Amino acid sequence: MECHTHTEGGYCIVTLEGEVDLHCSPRARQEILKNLEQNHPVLVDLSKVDYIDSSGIASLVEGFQVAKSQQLDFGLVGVSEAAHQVLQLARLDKVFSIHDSVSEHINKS
Amino acid sequence: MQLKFSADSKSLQEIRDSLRDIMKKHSVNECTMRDIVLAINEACMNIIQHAYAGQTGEIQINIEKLPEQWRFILIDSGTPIDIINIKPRDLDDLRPGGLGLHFIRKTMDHVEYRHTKNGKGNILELTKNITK
Repeated sequence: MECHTHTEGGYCIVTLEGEVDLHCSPRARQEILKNLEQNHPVLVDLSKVDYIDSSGIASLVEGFQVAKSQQLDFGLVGVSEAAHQVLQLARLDKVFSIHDSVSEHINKS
Repeated sequence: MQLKFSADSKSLQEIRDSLRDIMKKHSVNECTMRDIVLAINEACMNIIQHAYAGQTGEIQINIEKLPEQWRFILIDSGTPIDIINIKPRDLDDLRPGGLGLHFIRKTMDHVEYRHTKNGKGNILELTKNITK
């Protein structure tokens, strides 16, 4: 899994690429939480995620909850088919704010 | 077919890739393959985190293709689990973690836990019906 962050429209965009599993999801979790701790709203770009397991989903849920407690915006963008299917299994596709792109999320907020 | 892996999170990629190779060789459809890979990955995560809980060990995966289904038997020699109290958590309770069992039960057609005959490990049997 690759994980990198850039800023766009006042948001930290955390992009995850490849397969997010128990071995590498801690890096994703750390990156998401680090940006929230620095008081930045976060969008997680899942467009290049080929696989995600329950540990990867847990990182997203934790980010969502931390953001909520800090009244920061948090969402998912460009959710791949693979990621969407797992979010649906967990019934989280209706919990997260999900948009096709960063600009779509920003314009709707 | 019998596969063996060390019970380490580093093995999970190899486990998934091995399963995908086998499924592709047997022309398993994408949807079924995705379900199988997810379920077995989650099962292996549980073995690593709970049965072995950080100790070294091995995961054995026996794979059998039957006329109407795929059968997977995962065997470990970790701490015997409390079979009676295995249950997925309530999804309305939003929190990180605890989704693995739910994913396994939603994607596989049969899920059965038992202990090894010597009582020093666990056997998880998963079956997936073949859809045409």
